[in-house]
Amino acid sequence: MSNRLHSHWRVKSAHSWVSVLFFHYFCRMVQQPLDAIEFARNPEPRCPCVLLLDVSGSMSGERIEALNEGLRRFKEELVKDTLASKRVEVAIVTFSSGVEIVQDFVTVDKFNPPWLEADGATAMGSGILQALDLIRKRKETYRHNGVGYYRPWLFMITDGAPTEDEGTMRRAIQALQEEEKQKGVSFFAVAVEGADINFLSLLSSERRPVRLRGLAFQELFQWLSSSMQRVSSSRVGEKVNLPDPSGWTEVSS
Amino acid sequence: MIDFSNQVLYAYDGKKWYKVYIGNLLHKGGEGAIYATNDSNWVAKIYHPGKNTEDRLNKIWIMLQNPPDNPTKSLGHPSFTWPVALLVDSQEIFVGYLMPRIRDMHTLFCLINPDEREKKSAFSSFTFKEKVRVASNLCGVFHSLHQKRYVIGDVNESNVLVNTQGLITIIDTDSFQVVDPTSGCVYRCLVGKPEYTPPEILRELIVNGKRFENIDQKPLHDNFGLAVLIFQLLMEGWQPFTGTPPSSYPHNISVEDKIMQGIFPYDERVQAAKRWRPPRYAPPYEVVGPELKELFYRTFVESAHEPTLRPSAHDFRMALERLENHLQVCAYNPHHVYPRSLSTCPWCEHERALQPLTTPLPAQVPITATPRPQTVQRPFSSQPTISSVPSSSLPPTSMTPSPRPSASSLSTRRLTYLILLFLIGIAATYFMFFRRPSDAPNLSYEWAAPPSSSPALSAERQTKSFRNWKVYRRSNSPLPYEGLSSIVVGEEGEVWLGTFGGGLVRVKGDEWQIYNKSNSSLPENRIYAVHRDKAGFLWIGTFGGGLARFDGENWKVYQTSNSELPSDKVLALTSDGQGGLWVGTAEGLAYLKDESRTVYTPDNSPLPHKEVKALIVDAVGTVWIGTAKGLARLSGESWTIYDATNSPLRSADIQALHIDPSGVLWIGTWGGGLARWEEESWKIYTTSNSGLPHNHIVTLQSQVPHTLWIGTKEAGLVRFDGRSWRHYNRQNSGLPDDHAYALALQNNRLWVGTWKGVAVLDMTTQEE
Repeated sequence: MSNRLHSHWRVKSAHSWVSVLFFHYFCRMVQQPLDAIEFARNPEPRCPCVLLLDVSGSMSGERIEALNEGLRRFKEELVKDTLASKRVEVAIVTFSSGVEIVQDFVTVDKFNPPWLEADGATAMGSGILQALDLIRKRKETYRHNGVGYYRPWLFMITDGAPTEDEGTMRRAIQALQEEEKQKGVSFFAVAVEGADINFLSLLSSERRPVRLRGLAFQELFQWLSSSMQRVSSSRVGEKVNLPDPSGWTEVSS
Repeated sequence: MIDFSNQVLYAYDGKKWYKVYIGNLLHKGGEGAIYATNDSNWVAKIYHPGKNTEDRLNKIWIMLQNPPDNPTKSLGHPSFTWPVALLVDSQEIFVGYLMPRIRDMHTLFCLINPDEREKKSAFSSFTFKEKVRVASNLCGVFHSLHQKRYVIGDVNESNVLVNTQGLITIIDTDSFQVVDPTSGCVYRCLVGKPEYTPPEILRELIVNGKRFENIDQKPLHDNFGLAVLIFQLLMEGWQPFTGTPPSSYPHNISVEDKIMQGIFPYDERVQAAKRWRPPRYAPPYEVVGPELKELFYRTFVESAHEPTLRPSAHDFRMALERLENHLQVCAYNPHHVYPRSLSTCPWCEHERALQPLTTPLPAQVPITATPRPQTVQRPFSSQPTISSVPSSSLPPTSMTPSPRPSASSLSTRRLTYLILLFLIGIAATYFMFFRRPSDAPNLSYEWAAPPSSSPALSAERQTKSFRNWKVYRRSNSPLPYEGLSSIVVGEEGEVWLGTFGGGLVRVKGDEWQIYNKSNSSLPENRIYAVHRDKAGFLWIGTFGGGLARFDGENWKVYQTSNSELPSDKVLALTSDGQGGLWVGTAEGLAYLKDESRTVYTPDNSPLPHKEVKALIVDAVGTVWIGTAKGLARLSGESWTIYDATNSPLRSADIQALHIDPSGVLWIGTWGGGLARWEEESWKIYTTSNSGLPHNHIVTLQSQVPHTLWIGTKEAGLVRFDGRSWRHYNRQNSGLPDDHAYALALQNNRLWVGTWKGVAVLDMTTQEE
């Protein structure tokens, strides 16, 4: 990636940090009215999904492009289902050398997929902690406003292994497994080629990581949107049958 | 999945065979797909391979032979997508069935969810009243299915459809529970959404581990889901089992558990017993009225233990009809409709609770609104909101003939209309059932259509019947919104219409131009006042977007953020002879002249109330200010206040002020009739001492020499010549509605803004 793009991204990143800070500042100031409008206009129970995305240097090039296209596919597919578009809430947390909340929770009908750029290291542990924190806060907001919710999904896509200190990663695994035990989150890990799948297997106590076939991000997000659709309109007395993921997964050897 | 497009299939309706050409794929679902056919009135549902089972065939066959009564047959509207013929392929293998095609319908969810409702312009004008009617229609359809022992089973917000006339169609009928009347064999409903499933079924499924295929359902099970839908419809989309738990509740309790435990936090008894509270931003629950409150309590709490106590579709239907007959319109906002049993408007209260953010965050408001490029001319054909049917006139309810227009009040014209409809119905039945081609299958599938023209007749009636009246509605003109707040006649013969939700409209001859938030700098589509000053500027007072000045090309916007305007809700406008403008807002009065601004509030002046609803300046420059709690007269620096205690005024809530050519001041009040003021001498006209038909006056207009036109809240238009009163309403004139909100005179034509479009009375001929 050229230097020009590098600096551009850094500026953009700094800028979005500032805006995130401001956003939180405003949220604190006017917390109740914001919720009031949001939930009064759409009182549907929420089905939150955090996309935890690896945007480290190794993801640059066609990978990040395919991921960006995938995000668009996700939105396109979900808005077709009016009910799902009012129930599924997306948040995007990216990790590279640092962690960034690129998109705080928003219902799919109001979600504008961002263009992500890739650069830097792989702060996976901090990413997981940030995502769990975001989910915890969101659940508080739902409860505070009397809005129902489904078990949140934490959907991680990575092509690497963590580059942070061991302590952070250990805390992240502990927090994640604790949350899983309380049925507070469903965690999915998708390994893009090059990811340390053995390490990823240590993360969740409930679900094994899956390997992405090549650059099948389109198929992956198509699957994710149908899954969210099924979860958000679940049937009583029936376990949600997630759609067949064989369109995008690689048979593990 | 096999694509059936362009294939030929054979249909059997129990008597004859027909050849059906399958057209485009319309929709793909979990069990099958829906295709168009060569007759546009019918579509084919074709099952995915493996789903076209023997059981399914039997079930469809039974349904085909025992259809329920369609309560909206006379309107040519299918209340359910009921199978009309089996479909087989060339090997005579069952593949699916034919059913009526439905058009221009949306899922009930689009009406239930406030966000979606606003997006669907067809529903944006629906008030609580229309929603009560939709709920009542829904009960009618349930009742008619239950009478034939059908159970919907999978009741939810997505398989009930509704159109802009408030008519209901239930889809996915092949998942209903069907009983074979001869063998007694039950074909069960295999699915259900938790939030619409009654507690006794949830217990069977969750506690006893049963499955849907082993549970017989009864109509009373549907009635639970029905009550949930009604609740959501009336309560702005909130589910009955949502709420804030007491702080001791640690986890996210599932909706299934809440239903089984009867946690219905809206009811006071439940609040007291379980310490749950309704969601903070749900509308006030009393809006549903006492009778429905009781029915909801019986459904959501009492019937959790004793299902037979659950009210039926018919019970709900009756209660909803009574509610519909006992509604009133808010004095402040005509969008707000609520039960007469309440003394204050619950919707105003609800809006106040959501208030802080209706004005955007300060950082997001531009300092001055920048004028955008020329507004676009929008031809009739490109109107995005035009629907093929009149949008707000809901046809009679579906279950029983509506008792609302009593037989005695039916004019002969209406009777003719009904008879006409009846004849069309007979003709349609004849075509449908007796005129089928006899040489099927090779000549087959030429079924006659139900009379699709019937809804349009009502629009025609309104424009044709009264020759000197012309009515513009959404169905027959580019009018973007049917609720009118203000009408102003311009100098070039053009008329400006201010709407309660669709922006500003300029009408000149056949030319219609619409200015709204998206195509111009108009800050808000809800307009409450329009005024034209002597300099030729048009001033537009909006509800929430401040004040706008328009010179035909450029806009200037005044808001609280960029000016001294006390509120962005502008309720009244008038100008004096010296180039000054008086602006009445929800938070006080402002006077704008050149660069100077003066703001009057109850805190800094004798203004009796902050809500300024009417304004007028007389010939000598005295300003009359009508507020929600008194009339003020400002002459120079001296104030005089008149209210119900110190003057003959019967109500101090002033709605309209008008000065006639002889200098007499007319005061229209909310609930206290009309007052005439001339040099401290008062005369009061009310329903008890005069021919005035209603004590709620909305607008006033005078015509030389001695005519006063009075717009009332519910009794239409009144003409008063100083001695006699003449009433114009829906029954005896071309008025489309009995709410007359705005009046303007253009030569010999009177423009009347109603809640159902604008009507023009041509007074050049005597016949009225």
